[in-house]
Amino acid sequence: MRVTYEDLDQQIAAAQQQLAAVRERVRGRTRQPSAWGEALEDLTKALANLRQLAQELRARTEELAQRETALRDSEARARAIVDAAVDGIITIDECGIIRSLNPAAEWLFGYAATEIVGRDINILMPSPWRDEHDDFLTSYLAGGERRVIGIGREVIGQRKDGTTFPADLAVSEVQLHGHRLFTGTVRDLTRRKRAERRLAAQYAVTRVLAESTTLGEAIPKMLQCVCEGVGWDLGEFWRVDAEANLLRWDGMWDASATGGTEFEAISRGMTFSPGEGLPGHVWAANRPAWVGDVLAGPGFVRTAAAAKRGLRGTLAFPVRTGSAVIGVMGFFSCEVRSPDHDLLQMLDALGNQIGDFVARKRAEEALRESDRRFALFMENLPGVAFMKDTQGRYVYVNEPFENTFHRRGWVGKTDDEFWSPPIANQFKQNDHVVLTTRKALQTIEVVPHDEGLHSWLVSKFPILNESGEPMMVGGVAVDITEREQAEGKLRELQRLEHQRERLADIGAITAQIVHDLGNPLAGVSMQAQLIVRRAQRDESQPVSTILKPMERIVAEVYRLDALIKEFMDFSREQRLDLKSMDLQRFLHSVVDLWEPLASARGIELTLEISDGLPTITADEEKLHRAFENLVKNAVEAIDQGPGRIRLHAAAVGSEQVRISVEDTGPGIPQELEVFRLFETTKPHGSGLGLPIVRQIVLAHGGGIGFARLEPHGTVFSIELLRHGPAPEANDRLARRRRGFS
Amino acid sequence: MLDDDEGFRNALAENLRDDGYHVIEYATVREVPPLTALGEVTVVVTDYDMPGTNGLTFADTFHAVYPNVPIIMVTGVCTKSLETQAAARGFVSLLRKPIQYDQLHDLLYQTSSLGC
Repeated sequence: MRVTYEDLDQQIAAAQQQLAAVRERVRGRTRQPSAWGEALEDLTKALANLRQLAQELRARTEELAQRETALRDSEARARAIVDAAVDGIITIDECGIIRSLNPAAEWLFGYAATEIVGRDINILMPSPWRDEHDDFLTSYLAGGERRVIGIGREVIGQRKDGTTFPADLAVSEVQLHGHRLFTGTVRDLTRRKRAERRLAAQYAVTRVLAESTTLGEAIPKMLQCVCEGVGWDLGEFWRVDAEANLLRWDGMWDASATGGTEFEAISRGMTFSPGEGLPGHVWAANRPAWVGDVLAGPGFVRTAAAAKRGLRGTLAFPVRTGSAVIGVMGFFSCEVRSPDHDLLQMLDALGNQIGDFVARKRAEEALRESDRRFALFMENLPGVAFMKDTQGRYVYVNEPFENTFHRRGWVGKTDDEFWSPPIANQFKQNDHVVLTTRKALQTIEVVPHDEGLHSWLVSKFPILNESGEPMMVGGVAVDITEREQAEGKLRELQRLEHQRERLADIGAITAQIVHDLGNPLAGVSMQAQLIVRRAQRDESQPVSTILKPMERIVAEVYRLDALIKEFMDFSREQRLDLKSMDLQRFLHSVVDLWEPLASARGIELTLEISDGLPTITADEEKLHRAFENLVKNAVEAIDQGPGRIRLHAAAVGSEQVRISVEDTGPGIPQELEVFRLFETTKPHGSGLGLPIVRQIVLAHGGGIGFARLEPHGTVFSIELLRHGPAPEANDRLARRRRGFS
Repeated sequence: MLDDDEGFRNALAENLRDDGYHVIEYATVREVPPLTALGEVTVVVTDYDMPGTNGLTFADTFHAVYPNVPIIMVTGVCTKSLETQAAARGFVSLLRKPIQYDQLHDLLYQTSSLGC
């Protein structure tokens, strides 16, 4: 029979009451203390003590029960914690034998607790740790150093299937019933490691992007970083060719390939249209895509080559700048891979980063290319080029600039620091004109260098900012000193040539003159002898007999006189007395002079002046002789009317006038070179008339030509410069300026 | 008489006519009729430099028909070459313009049959 504390307490209490009743009876019989009385008192006290003890015992027992319950609760709680722990918890004894492991550890290592409790812990470790572990434990238990306990370290765990994983291990030691137990907490680091690797890959890509100067250099490095970071075997980049609307292969990285694989060779020549193949699909959808096994599914274009290379899993993601896809990156793994959301997310973010880089690099490369072209262009200019800011500081000078002026370090400095005040001021004034007018200026600047003053033909222009404010003055210039000298030499040469020609002409004239003058003189002489002889023969003979020879003498003398004058005209230097003259009035005077003779021969002489005929600068007297010759030729060509001579004058452009003399005469024979000396169709022509006209026109810086008219007739055209001939020492600058404007 | 300078030719012809000669004037060789139709010729006076055929060529042609008729050639420009060519022929006397009528007249007498 089970006795409870209550039963015991009740029985003791009942015993106390019975004893108390016995004591009352005894006390009533006798007032005298007795041996019984004492014994009863002792018994009463003993019972009270007993009861107290029983109560104490009860309290103790209850306390113990409570403590046991609390302990049980605590253990359950601990168990629950251990069982529910994410980390694997494994307990081993001093011999390294597994005593317990929680579900997380079961899951982590792929063993059920039942199949592993009682086995050596080293089964959970790969070599070489597996073989070393027992020794570690032994040496530790023998008082050796701590390797793990209380420290924690990263280790490699081995699963039941033989695969390994990185883990964080913390070990604590407990003493229990004189035994030492070790509890290990194992945390799987795979995810953390992967995240770390991916982060590192991202950093690496970022670093590649930052360090690469060109796209071509960055792409394979990026591919490598990503591959190594995420543990894939091959990466490729496809560039969007917007113009062709195609994806073009733009680089590959292959972890294993030492040389080019067939896969690379095939890829290199490929293009993808939007939606075509995995890259085309990613491009068109603007979304990452994952193919667990390229060999399993359709839609992969390079299956055969991929299989040969051993590629299975692949993923691709768009490389974007903003929302525009500028390329597609693809990665391949030699294993079949199941989609990894985190990885895709990371690569998608990376795609944006790379895209921005690619866009930036392209812009930079375009700019560099543009800069390079600009520099190339500038360095090869046949002259100097420069830019200055609005403060006159050089911003740019090309190499020829530095070489020409034999100075370096122009940038940041002003003309004042290089040139004497008059030279610098000249530059600054022109710069100022360009900046204030905001228009290009062509001018000549004089620059002292190479032991002489050089003339530079310079074109300065304003460089305006977007709002049209001048930011800089740009300039290109060529040294025209030599050209000017050459031009001067050429002019001198031409002058000498002209002089030589003239001397030759005069020589020819001298020869001709002997003949031309000799004949008339012989005639005059003979006429005179006739007169003399007739007079001597008969002094009284009538005048009529000598009148005819005398008239002939007079005519001959006139002819001689005219001939000599023409000769004089031709041989004389054509020194011009240039004055502003009214061409209209002048031509009227020519016409007025010849009108009587012309009309006497039945020739109509007219003058037409077109509107806007300017005054010209010329030697009027010389021009008069020229036109007189032309009109005289025309009159003599027609000889007898009816016929017509028409003078016409008109402005040609703003700088020239043209005057033509047109006749309806028989025309000039084809073989006749009219401007050649002594060429004439007239019986007594000297052949000097037109050469003289030509000489006068050329001296005026003009030109002369003629044309045969249909059915017959001739027109001579003379063009004269409005401002007269350029004097020998003419202001060449002024002439150039005219030429530019 | 051949000379394209009308003033000279005419004055010389007039001088000769005054002395009683019968003179026929031609400006160029082209104007001269066929030599066989010329009839009797005592002396020829010709210019050297004329348009068309020159005086020396004419002299040769003429001499072939009239081997005994002397030819007096007048010229404005007398070159060494011309002198040599005239002298080589023997039947050509060269006179240089301007000429003295008397000198020509003397030459006529010396060379032609007139002086006989």
